[in-house]
Parts: sequence; C-alpha cells; structure tokens
Amino acid sequence: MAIDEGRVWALQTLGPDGVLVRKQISSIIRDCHEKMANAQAEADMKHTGVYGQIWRKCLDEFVTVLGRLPSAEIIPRRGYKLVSFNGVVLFPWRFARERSADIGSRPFAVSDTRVSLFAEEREPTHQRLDIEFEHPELSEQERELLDAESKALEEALSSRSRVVVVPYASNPSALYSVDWGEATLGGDGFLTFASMESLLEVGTGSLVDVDLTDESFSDGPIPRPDLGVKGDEADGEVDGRP
Amino acid sequence: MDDRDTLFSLLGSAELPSLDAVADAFDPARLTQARFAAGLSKAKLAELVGITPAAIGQYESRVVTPRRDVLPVLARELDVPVGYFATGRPIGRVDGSEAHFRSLRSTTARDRSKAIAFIEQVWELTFALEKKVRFPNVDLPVLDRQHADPISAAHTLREHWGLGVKPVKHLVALTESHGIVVSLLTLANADVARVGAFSTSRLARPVVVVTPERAKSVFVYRFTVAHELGHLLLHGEAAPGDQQQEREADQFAAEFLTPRSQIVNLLPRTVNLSRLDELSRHWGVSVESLLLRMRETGSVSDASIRRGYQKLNHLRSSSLDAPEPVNAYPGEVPSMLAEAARLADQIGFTQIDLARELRWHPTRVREVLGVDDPRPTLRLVNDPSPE
Repeated sequence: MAIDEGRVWALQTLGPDGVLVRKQISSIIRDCHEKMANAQAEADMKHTGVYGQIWRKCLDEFVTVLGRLPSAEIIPRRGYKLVSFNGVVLFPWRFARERSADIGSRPFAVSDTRVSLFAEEREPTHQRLDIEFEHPELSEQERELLDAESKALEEALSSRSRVVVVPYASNPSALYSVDWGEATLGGDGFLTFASMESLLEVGTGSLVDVDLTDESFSDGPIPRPDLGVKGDEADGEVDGRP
Repeated sequence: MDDRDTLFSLLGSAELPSLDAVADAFDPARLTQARFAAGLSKAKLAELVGITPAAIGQYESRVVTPRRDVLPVLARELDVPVGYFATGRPIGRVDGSEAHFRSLRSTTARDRSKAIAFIEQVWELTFALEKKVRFPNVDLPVLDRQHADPISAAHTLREHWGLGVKPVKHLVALTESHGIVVSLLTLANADVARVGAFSTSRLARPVVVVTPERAKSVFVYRFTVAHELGHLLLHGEAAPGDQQQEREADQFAAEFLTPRSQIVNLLPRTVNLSRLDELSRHWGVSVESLLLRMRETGSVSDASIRRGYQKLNHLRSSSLDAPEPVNAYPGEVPSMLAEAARLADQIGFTQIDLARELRWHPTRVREVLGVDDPRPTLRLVNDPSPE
C-alpha cells in the first residue's frame, strides 16, 4: 500500500483521526520496545520474560496515547481496555519474536479474549453488576441460573465487530516489523487481512533527514600539503613558522 | 632483511664513524633517547650489555663515557648504529610534561618515555627533511588559553580552516596541509600501542602520533586526531593524568567533528542503530560518539544509551559490525613525510642519505616515514645442513 493510499485507508477506516493514529502507532510500539528492552537489560536475566510483557505495555500505551485523540473511544473488554475509532477496535499483536515469521502462519485465536474482539460484548462486570448488590433471598443454584441467563443474553446480543490488528515482530535485540490492516478471524483461528501496510517507516521521529546529496567525510578531493624543493638553499628557518 | 652494520649494510664501511670518534663525541642524551625508544630500563639494558645498572646511569649523567668495546654492544642492544651516540645533529627534546597522551591511566612511565622518544625522532626526521623540502607553514589559530573553552575553540578552528558546518573531510590530509606533522605508528609495539596517541606543540612544528591501536577503526582514529588537535590548541602545558584536559580535548573533538547545532537535529529520538550508522558514515565519527551526543542532548535515557552500547558490543562480538580500517580512506593516511622524502629523493637526497644524517638504520627511517621497504623479501630455499 503506498503512503497516500495508506492515509486514505486510515481515514476511511478510522475516521478523522485515522491519519494521526497511523502516524503514532509506529512510535508507540518503538517506544514500548525501547522501554521493555531496557527493562530486560536492567534486569540482567537470561530469561526474556521481562521483555515478554511488551504485549501488555503496548495495549496500555495504545489506550493512553491514542485515547487522547478527539474521536477515540475507550472500550472495556474482559478486564482489559481497548481503544477504538469510528467503531473499529485497534489491537496490537506481537505475533513473532523473529524477523522471518509469516503473519499468516501464526494462530491468533489462542484465548477467549482475543476471540471476543471479533464479537460485540458487554463488559462482563456489567453483566454481573445486577447481582453485585446483596440478594440474600437467592440461593446458589438461583445465582448460577441467573449467570447462565446472562450468558445466553450476551450471546444473543453479540454481533460481528470490525477490528484493525497491528501485528509486530520483536525481541529484546530488535523490532523487526510493525504492520496494520483490517482483519477477520477464520474458523481455524487464523487471521485474514483485507489489506496490510508496514508502519515501520511512517513517522520515524527524525526531525531532519540527512541530505544524501551532501558529501560525506570521505568524499571530494583530498587536500595535499603544499611541499616544494628548496634545492641548494642554506639551512635556515626550518620550523614552519611564518 | 635489516640494515644493521653488517657486511650487507647500506652504509659503506668508510662512512661508518670510528669508535674513537663516537666516544670522543659521546652524547648522553642520545643514549637515554635510544634506551627510551627501545623501552628498556637501565637495569635491563645493563643486563643485556653485561655491565652494571650504575654504569648506565653514569653514562647518561655524563659522569663517564662508555668504553670503546661497550659502544657496539650498546648499539646492538638498542638497535641503532654506533654513530647514533655521537653529537653533531639537532635533537628534539620533549619533556614528559610537554606531551599529551591518550589512555594515560593505563600507561606506565616507561611507555610514555618510549612514546616521547618516538615523537622526538619524528621531529628530527622532519627537521632533516625541511633542510631540503619546503613544508607548509603551521596554520593554527592562536587562542587565549586562559579563557578558551573547548567548544569555542572547535568553532574557531572550523572557521580558521574554512570548514563551515559540514562533515570534516579527509581530516589527516587537511591537518597535514596546515603544516602539522601526523605520523601513524606502524610498529606493532604493544608498549606504545597502549599509549594510544600522543602529541606535542613544544617542538617548533607540532607533531601528532597515532598508534595502531587507534587506527583499527577510521572513526576512532579521526576522533583521536581531533582530540590531539584540541590539546595543541588548548593546552600548552600538559598535565600528565589531568582528566580535565582529557575531557576538554574530547569535548573539542566532538564539537569539531559534529557541531552540536547540526547534529542535534539529525540524531534520532530513540537508539536506532541503523540511523546512527548512517550518520556515523556521513560525519566520519563512531556510533559510540553519536550515542554520547544523544546523551548530551538528553533526547534519550541513560538506560537506552547503555542498551545501545550493549547492542553495539553484541554486534561486534558477533562480527556483524567490522571496523572500517584507516587504509581504506586515503585522506586519513598520513602522507606528508613520505611525500617530502620523495621530493628530497628527486634532488638526490635519498632515504639512505637521510638515515646517514640522522644516524639511524634505514629501516627506522622507513618506519617513521610510514613507507614500505621496496626491497624483495628473501627466503632460504635450500637447507644446507647435512641430513
């Protein structure tokens, strides 16, 4: 997807803040990578579990940073918070630790929470809100019945939801890729992307770019010292001072 | 093949001074200089020659003159012609407090003495060449050292040499073209290599010497040369071990090679090594130097900088980031002395004449000039020993 197409797609999919979202995602993930890699280095552990928490860090930072945009909507989902624009949920997904992995080869639906992204849900805490109050008259059996009813109601209410997934591949030594695209979840648990764009080079954060037309330190003619033969000159001032 | 006083010596026997003449004109300072150049203590030299350490001390303090039969042994052990010990030619005298040393903390007094002996010899060779060849005038701005700071000194030198704000191209060729002698020590000499680099402005023509240790990477080498330029401009009197002077020379080098006004807008906001590598190759400085610049600008945390170093070390230990050798960059290889010797040769003053005037072995002349031995390498192809 070319840059201009990418902006158009972002606007069509996410609404007026789409362009800003597109620009900020890469720097959010870079920043998270930097911080988690530093934390891993500071921890001085062989095990990379510290860095492994980057999935949670990215999830939180998406909400914190992108949530400030005017049209952002924060939606709770099974104990987590997600940010959505124009009714489209954004979900960062660390799909690989290595450079060469193929996004399509990695299963996405490895948890109920992930599956639930693709279905409208009322927050479970809300479902249970009705019975958070004291109901001493209800027996344990009756409570379970109420829960089952709530679940059935929830399933009846659910419908498909639009999701933009942001897959990224990284490990403590490198951030290899950041992409994004609208995805649908297949029955086999794998994602299918309608389109995909790399965000790694979008908004890299340099204030000025090196003008490659400028000559580098090793370009151009080499100056040579101005030497000359003295011939039969007498030994005189030879200290080079003018 | 070496050039000692043998049957195959390049100096004819008629040209060799007699032992009597050398003994009569014995210069104790030459013995000290040769001993320092060889990196030997008085005790070690005495052991090699077969005399007492006290005798060496007495020779060097002018109390006694070496016996005729000791002179050739001294010459052999110090790898100089016997005539080296005689007076009659200018000697470049540099006191230990008049030279600046990199890596001073890791060097011994003996290493520094050896470095000083080398710098004296570089100057003596230059002086001998200047009798035949006109060198460029020394062209350095004069600073008020009492009030000069490293940053403004870097700006002053850039302005004086008309460099603007772009990368400093061909730093060593540029430095030589402004009359400063630069020598890249070719000796695979562990003692002096530990010194890293040294310079002095106490001799009439400033001399900067860089050792092989600092020449493994062109970027480290350029920073080292700029560091020594900082010393030449800022510090007349060296204070061995003065970390303040070392810091100031580093600040000078960083500002001279990468002016803050320019680099601050080019540095990435995160430790992006590929971006830093791009900048490194454009400005001719190491990625480490740019990481320090990032720390100065406060654009990234110290932890990120530390991680940047860890990444770099990992890349280097994995041989994924090989250093760029100096000889791949012709503008960074010293050439002024060799070119002066070539011009002198054109008017009949050959390297052998130069060796004769300096009373050095020709190999030493080539070493200090930084030129290769043109003679073919010979090897034994027939073992004459009986089976």
